[in-house]
Amino acid sequence: MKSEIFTSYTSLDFAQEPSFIRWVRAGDEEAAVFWQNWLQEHPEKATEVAEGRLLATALRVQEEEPSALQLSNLWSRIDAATQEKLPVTDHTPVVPINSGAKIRPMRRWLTYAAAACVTLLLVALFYNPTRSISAGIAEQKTHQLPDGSSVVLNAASKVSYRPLRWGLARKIELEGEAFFQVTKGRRFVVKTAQGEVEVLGTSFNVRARGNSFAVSCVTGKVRVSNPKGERILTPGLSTQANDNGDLVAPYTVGTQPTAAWRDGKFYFNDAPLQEVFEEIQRQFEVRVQTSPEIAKRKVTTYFERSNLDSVLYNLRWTFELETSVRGNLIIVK
Amino acid sequence: MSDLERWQALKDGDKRALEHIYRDHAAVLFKYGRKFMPDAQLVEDCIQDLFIELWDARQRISATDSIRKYLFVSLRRKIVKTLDRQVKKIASEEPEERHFQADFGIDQLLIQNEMDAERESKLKVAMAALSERQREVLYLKYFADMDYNQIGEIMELNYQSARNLSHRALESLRQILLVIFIVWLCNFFGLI
Repeated sequence: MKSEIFTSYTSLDFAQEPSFIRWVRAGDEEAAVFWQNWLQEHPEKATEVAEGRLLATALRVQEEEPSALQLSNLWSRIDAATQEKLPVTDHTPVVPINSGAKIRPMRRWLTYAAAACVTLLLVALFYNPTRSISAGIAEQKTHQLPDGSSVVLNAASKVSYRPLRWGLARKIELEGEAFFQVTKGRRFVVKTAQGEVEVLGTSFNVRARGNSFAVSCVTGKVRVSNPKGERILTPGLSTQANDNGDLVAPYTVGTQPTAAWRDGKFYFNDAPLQEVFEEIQRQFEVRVQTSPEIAKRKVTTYFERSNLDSVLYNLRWTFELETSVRGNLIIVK
Repeated sequence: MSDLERWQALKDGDKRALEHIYRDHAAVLFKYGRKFMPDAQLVEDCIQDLFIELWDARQRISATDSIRKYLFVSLRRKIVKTLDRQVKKIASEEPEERHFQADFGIDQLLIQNEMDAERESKLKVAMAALSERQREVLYLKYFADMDYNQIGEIMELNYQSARNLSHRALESLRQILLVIFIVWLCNFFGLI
């Protein structure tokens, strides 16, 4: 390398010199040796070199690496499109016309049969229908899963799972609230948008609605996880995600029974009225209209599904709210 | 195997050479293409066409000492053509400057924790002042390992213009770094 020319270099020139870039950006060994020697011979250039190094290494670029799958799929497409065309067998003089006429339909038939077999095999492997069960407003549903585990769905809730895969992985997705009674066996996972609950055999309740995510364990042992962390629950303990999304330390719910909603009883522990109203909307076919200030108030209360009037009565007298009913609309002031 | 030999193998109809070339360069090509087209699917389509055409035309292609440069030149042309077609579809105006959107940042080590939100946004503004062509030069130089001859060919400039463009880009970068450095010094001595 002609090293004399570099004595006139400024930091900008260094930053653009390919071997210099190889040294400072890629740590290339050959380049490193050269530049270290050169620096020893020209100590007066140390500042320019340092600045050049800074310039050449400062830049970062934010970019997305293509995934290996993406690249290999793209290659398959290119590969398929650049496949050498096989020599055409039709009208090839080497094959006698008679035998050709006999063999070709046979071959074609075999090809079709093979293709059908492969298709069937693929379908059998990947045929993986999803089964969904949902409970509507003012409805409750009990569903038996393939292994004898059961799920009780609260109103306006939905679960879905893959029956054919159930033997391999007990995985079920939940939107809303449900109570699970799980038979002993492989791990059982409830996936929700808010987090995951994993158990071996137990009964537990999961509520995953809007921003709220709460899990209570009745028997056995339950592992709850969301992006912020995980908690282990033993019988009688509950956890829920707080406003920051962290799962709070397991706490006892007190005397009120877990998943009392199955008996039409709804308990709220220091919950915003908003949550109470939402449950009312799900249990009775009504809409509740109220102001944001009221919705934010935290309450500890209880209602039963048997009677909407007593629910409203409760709201009026316990929380000093005014309620008026217009058809399906309840206005709370 | 050198680029020259691999290229010759491709010209001789060796399909493995094509696959090797793909494996060596597809990821860099993809990342470069994304700077012009945010839509990953479009970039994939361009790369796909590029390799298919390369294979189909293998007997006619000219020799090259840098496969990567050859591919960058072809991909850029292909993208420019695709984008021009899109622009014409939308409005029959003059095809405008291509947008090269490299999201540059400064090495975290240099800015440390001293950067608060306000300064960081100032830095963003300063980086945004780099023109799109300056960005492309810096990108090709530092992230795709191209020299000025190659950059010139890719960006359809002569050697001297490529050099000047890069020089100006680095000059701006130096000014940005200087500002960061001063801010850092002031912080260090508690002046701000």
